[in-house]
Amino acid sequence: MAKISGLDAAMESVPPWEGVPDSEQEQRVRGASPLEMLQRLLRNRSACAGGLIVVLTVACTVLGPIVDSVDPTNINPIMHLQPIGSAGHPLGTDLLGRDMLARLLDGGRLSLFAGVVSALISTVLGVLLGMVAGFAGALLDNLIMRLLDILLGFPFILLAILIVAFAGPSTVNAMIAIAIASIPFFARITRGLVMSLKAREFVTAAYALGAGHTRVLFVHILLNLWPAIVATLFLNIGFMITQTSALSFLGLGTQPPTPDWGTMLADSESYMGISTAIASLPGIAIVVSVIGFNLLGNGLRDVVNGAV
Amino acid sequence: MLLVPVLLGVSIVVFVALHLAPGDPAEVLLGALATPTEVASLRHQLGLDQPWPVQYLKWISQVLQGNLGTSITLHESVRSLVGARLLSTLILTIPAFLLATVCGMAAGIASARWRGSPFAAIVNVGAFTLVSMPVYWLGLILVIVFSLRLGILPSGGMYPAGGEESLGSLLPHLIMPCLALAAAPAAIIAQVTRSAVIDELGQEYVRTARAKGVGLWRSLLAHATRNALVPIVTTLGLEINYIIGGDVLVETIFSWPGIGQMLVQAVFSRDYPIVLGSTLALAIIFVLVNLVIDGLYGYLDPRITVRS
Repeated sequence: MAKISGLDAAMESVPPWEGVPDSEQEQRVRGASPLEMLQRLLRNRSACAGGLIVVLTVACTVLGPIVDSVDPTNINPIMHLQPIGSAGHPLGTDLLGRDMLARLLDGGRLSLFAGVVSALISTVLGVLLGMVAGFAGALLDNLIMRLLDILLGFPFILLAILIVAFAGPSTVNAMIAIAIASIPFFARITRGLVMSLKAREFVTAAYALGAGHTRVLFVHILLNLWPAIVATLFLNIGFMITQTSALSFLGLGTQPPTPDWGTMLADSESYMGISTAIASLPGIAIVVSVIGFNLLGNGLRDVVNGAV
Repeated sequence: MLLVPVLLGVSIVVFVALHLAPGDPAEVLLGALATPTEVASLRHQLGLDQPWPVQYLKWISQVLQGNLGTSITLHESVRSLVGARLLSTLILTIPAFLLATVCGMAAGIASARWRGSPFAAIVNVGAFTLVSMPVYWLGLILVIVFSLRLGILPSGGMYPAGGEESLGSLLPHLIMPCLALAAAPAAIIAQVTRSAVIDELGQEYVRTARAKGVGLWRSLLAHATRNALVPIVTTLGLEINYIIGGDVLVETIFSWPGIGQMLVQAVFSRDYPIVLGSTLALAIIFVLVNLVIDGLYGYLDPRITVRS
């Protein structure tokens, strides 16, 4: 699902191609090498701030469990609900006396992983379907898009709940369910882009030089498509994290005692009256990482926007 | 959107998904001590031993006559269960939809009007944060603040337990679920409204209108905003997706006796008829609202015609 707009730090800084006529704009953008794109990205405040948050959260959750060797599932009822800052438990303990820091880091790795993987799955499948539909046109286009319309007939989370109901609750199934439910969004965006790219001169030129349909689609068109795809992918990771965590929160994703941010929030419901601060931690973790991915995605989109 | 094929597709997806699910309702119903003979006879009684296509046709022909079957666990007609809960769900979702639309548009228009001011910056940062905030965490935070800390609002339910069911006792229970549900969609609408109105304000007709003596507010509301309505209405489709999806989560958090809560419980107890009935009800609302939105385009911009 496309995030329409974001923190307007990115918007206020006028992109270099704004106000430039279309033809000239195209030329500028066509000349943009990956290196230039990277430079533009580094000049984008939103992308830098988001990138920093993402790198920090990923580093913490990946490296944290190595540095901090406490077992996140180790139950110790005597030490339950220790406050933040207590000895041996920097972020306190939950109702069963499990170390919150260890659970946050371990659970975070799972939540981030689930978000990234489901975004990747839905991007790859959605882009493939969208490319084929947009390129083939006619009957195949109609068939693919009408099938996706049926999926769009469901509110997003409802479809995911149905898929999990069919496959049984687990982290992997929640990831797949969220991925499948969001395929139509990627397919629609890709189809539109492919249809406009298909009409461009470079496609005619490629055909004139003897390229087949497959080569035109998967080399010439895809090469022009990928920056937009990458931007959309990053824009969606944050949404995927909240949605896979939502399934875990409902008990339809990751199963206890394995921690992820969604199940931790569901647990915290039972003791939020006693220890507000500790109950808030998993939520803060979700919000911070999602803001990071959204800022990065917005920045990427702004950088790419002229490019396709 | 083609209404009938989409609804038919929705019903097939719902049906197939649930019948592929592991776990036999007959076994669930009879418990672990049942003999295979008892399970087989109950399966026969419930029609679960017949091929899926037969079960589907039987089910859909009943649905078309308004009969959604009988709940396996509650032994009540699904139509009356869904009907009773539909009202609760609408009491929650319609105010949330209106609140999100009105607040989102007002914030968006205001931040376009005072572009670059501290107020606009606050709206932008606030909207960005709300979009990144999962509805289930926002719900928990509201409960912590207003129920557990301040003690001014009830933490769940629709009416006070055992109390009278009047508008006066409903309203305090409605405030927090409604706010939690409306937050993210309002933020998205604010973002879309802001950029659409700013786009329109840059158009020459607005300058012409201003030059001819049209006041600032009139040019903002009657000219720019009026023409920005098409992209805003498109977002309403996304909004209804967020609200129906969020409804499932919010009803679970606030023990709101609506369809969403019943759906999640039914997924756990594998009560097929209830899952089918409630999913279908929510999907029908979703498709119908989208149909109304499609119709609105033609009204807002007569150049757009809806193909029947």
